[in-house]
Amino acid sequence: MNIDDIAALSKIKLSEYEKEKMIDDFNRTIDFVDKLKEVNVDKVAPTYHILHIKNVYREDKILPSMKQDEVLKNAPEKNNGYFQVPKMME
Amino acid sequence: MYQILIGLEIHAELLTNSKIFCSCSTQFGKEANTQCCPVCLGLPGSLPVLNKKVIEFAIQSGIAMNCEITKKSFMDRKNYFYPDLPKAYQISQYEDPLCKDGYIEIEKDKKVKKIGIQRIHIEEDAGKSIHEKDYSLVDYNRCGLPLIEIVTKPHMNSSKEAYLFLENLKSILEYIEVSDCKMEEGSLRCDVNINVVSSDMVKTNIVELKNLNSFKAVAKAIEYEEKRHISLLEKGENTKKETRRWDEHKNMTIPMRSKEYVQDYRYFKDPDLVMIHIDKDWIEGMKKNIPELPKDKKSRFIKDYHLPDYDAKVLTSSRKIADFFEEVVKYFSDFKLVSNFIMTEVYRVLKEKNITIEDIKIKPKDLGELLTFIQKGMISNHIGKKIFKKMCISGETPRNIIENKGLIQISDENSIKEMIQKVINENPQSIEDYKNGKDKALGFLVGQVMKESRGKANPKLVNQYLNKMI
Amino acid sequence: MELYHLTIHEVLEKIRKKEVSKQEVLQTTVDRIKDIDYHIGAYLYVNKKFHMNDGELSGISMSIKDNICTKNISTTCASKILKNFIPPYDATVVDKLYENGCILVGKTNMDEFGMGSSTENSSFHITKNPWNLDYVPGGSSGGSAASIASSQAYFSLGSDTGGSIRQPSAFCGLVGLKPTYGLVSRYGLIAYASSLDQIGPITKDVEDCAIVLNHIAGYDRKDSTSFKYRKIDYTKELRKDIKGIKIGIIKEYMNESMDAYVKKSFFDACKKLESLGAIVEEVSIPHVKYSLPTYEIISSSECSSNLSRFDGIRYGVRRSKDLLNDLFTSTRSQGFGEEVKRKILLGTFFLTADSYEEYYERALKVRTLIKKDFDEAFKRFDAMICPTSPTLPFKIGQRKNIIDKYIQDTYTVAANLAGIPAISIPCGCRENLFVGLQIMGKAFDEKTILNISYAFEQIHDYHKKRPNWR
Repeated sequence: MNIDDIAALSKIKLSEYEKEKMIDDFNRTIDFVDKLKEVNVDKVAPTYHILHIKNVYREDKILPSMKQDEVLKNAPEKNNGYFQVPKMME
Repeated sequence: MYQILIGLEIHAELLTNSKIFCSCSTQFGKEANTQCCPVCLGLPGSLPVLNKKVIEFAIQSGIAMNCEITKKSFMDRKNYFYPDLPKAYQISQYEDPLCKDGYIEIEKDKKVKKIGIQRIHIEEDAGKSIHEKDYSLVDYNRCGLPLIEIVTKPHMNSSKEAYLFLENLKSILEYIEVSDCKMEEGSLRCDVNINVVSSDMVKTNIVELKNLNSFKAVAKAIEYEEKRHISLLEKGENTKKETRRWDEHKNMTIPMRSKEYVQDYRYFKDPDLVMIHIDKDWIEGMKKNIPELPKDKKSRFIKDYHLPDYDAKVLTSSRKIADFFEEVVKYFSDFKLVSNFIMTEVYRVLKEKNITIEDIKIKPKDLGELLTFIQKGMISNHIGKKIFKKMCISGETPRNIIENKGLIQISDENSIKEMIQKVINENPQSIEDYKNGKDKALGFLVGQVMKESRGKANPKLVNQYLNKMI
Repeated sequence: MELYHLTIHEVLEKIRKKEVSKQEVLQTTVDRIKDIDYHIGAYLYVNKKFHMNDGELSGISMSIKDNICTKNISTTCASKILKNFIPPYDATVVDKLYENGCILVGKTNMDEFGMGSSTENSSFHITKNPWNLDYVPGGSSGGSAASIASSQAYFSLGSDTGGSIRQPSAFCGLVGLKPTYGLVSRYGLIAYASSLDQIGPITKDVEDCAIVLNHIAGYDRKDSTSFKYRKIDYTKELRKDIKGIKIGIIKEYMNESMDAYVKKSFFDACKKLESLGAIVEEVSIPHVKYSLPTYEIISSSECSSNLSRFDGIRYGVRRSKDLLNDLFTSTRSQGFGEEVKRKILLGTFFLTADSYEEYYERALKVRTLIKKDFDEAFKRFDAMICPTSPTLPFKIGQRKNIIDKYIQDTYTVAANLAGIPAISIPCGCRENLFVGLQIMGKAFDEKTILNISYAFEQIHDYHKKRPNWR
């Protein structure tokens, strides 16, 4: 995967100048993190959560939702109770 | 010879009161963007908390589908951008689905076949988009509704098998009351993966089919694809690995515009949610909540009520109908008659009014009484059906309706003979015709007597006496 | 000393004795901001409407980092993309502090989304170190630290993903605490790296730190990763003798390059702790030398997913209107600053299917090893110490190279990876440039590190110093 693919996945477009700098930063960072490859992790379990918490749930109860105008308050574009966006492919 | 391989991916919305990660209501059909909160809108800083019921419903589904229940399970993020996905990731399950390796049995040509279930996992639904000419509109009410995704193994080999599988799956989910499976409201959705293998082991590429809005559409789309795959193979060509949508109007599948850019969902465990640990006790508790499943109920109906295989299948296809049947037979013990009445009259009303058995006003006890009246000859079959329709609307007891309208069948010999004599007197020509060998005339005369009695005369007796009196 | 220069406990004492009114206390802060923030730039938003509740902290003015949601008050993360975002809800910590009578005077500047260690990465303006305006205040909670060092509030809440509370506290001569992961609710904190982020106080002295911690710690059902731990009064055991307490000097850190004055201050501090009766010995945390690369992978991976929701659909500044993909891309390309984009791209890369095992999963495994090392060491020690930052505060505009930037976090990220509490307190000062001493404790043992900090503070006068502003 090259920098263009990664940028596309991230929905970020880089200018030529930014791209050059980013490639440079990427290479330095990869070199830097490659240090981890000297660690033997063969029999090590990954840490997904630092605390050993499990089974945290809520009961199936309804609480009031936000009002429609509050939901749409921060919307860049709205239309009759909906968020409006450019035409999507169906 | 070709073999067709079909796998299904079914999304079923779960019947919880609140959403999967927040306390917003799941009610269908509310005004746009009125069932949202910071969590389901993915507002910055908000955090999900898993609804316990969602796990329980998924486990119950897994048990009902003979799955193995995963002891340690996690929620993962599936990352992609789309306007209906507020966090730009869907919280789903990737490596450790709650349930795996199960099956559902289908019965075809008297043979039982097991269709493998690869996995069942829980995830959140996305919002709903409406596409206008120049723009699209998004409603986030549906966002965060709990779903189970059921993925089958490619074990189905015909559209018929896929159809039967879906029918059974739907009835299981309805039986255990985890989903109402309304395809028209989108609470059940089905995608198809299909390819074809020739006898010399040449395979087409797997094609995914979407936009299937009914079981019939699933079957039709499969049939269409089957032909398309085979004809390509015969030309020495292959299918494209692609996603196609079913076009209802054109009755064909059409390739969906493929995304030009790379896709990689970058799954990883959601650091905002913790491990789901399901121990034996929890599973045992869930097992106790599983009601008798359709397959078992059907066998029991055949055994206990001596019903034919067909009747038992129809009656047990819905748990509510089966329950209704069992209630009615408490009050009326001719099982086959109850079965017939439900399969004809009750189903007719449900279909005509587009309602479910729960909406019907009639009480099982009253239907039992009605059937008793018919059996005893107090009312005719014909009148019985009329009364039934009234009962469905008003919820009145049959006794009430009969008494109010004076609908009790006339079986009194003298009254009937009196009416017959009147009809004979008024229709000398018909009597003549009958005597000249025109059998039709008898039918006409019977009709006239029934008319005279406003339908209340016992038709058996009318026939009997009329024959004698002419 | 001026009223605004006092600590929380001093002001509360004065209010209790009716020497000052709550109104006066608030007014002094409001005036102070008006008078001097122009020179410093600690705030992104200065509040005008105040509401005062009764409670233990009634009348105390606070500043809050601009990545913590405040209802109806703009919360931008110092990013253009959230320039106009007004949260409809309060973060749990804000809620708790309001309930106890604190008054929000403003939202503080930061490195965009918490990414940086100088507050130079704010999209809006830079913040200067109140002790010397040519220098950075540290970051990412640089605005919070600067607001307290210049007495523009009595305490501030910052957030710490890899040192963002401790390093600016060190640079501004303050006390800053990153609590144990799970002790303080993250609900309402706009996530940078969910498995590392914690909210914590920045205060003028250790007692204030304990007071604020008392009011923000505790289980929150809205945060699934928050921990049910027994309620502790952190002010209670502050004054305990630290005789016999075992403190470890992390040996591996001493090999890293370190500013000579930092080194001197640190070893002086060790001697002081010994003079207080503590047993100070070297301890080895073998894998701690891998913390920076581990941190870099985990933080950027989580960041790439957490920051996906900023897509211009539901809130924030939207760019380009015509095509959906353009909308996403231009909104994000124009809305995020360079450092944020770098982090997102890196994280996206680490999580792709091809890199997941090689980078992301490996980092999670090394995290396990680092945690184990600490667990092992804490069997023999009550706390670990090291400098907070390997350097003194640096001049504005001085750090450009990314590896240089990583170095700032050398000593701080391990506590986030291990999920343990860590505090920074002043231990040296040369020409108004402060050195911080970092003390790390066992998970949920904030009590011990506060106790050590308090004892250390009592034999110094850093906490009594105020920058000389007219």
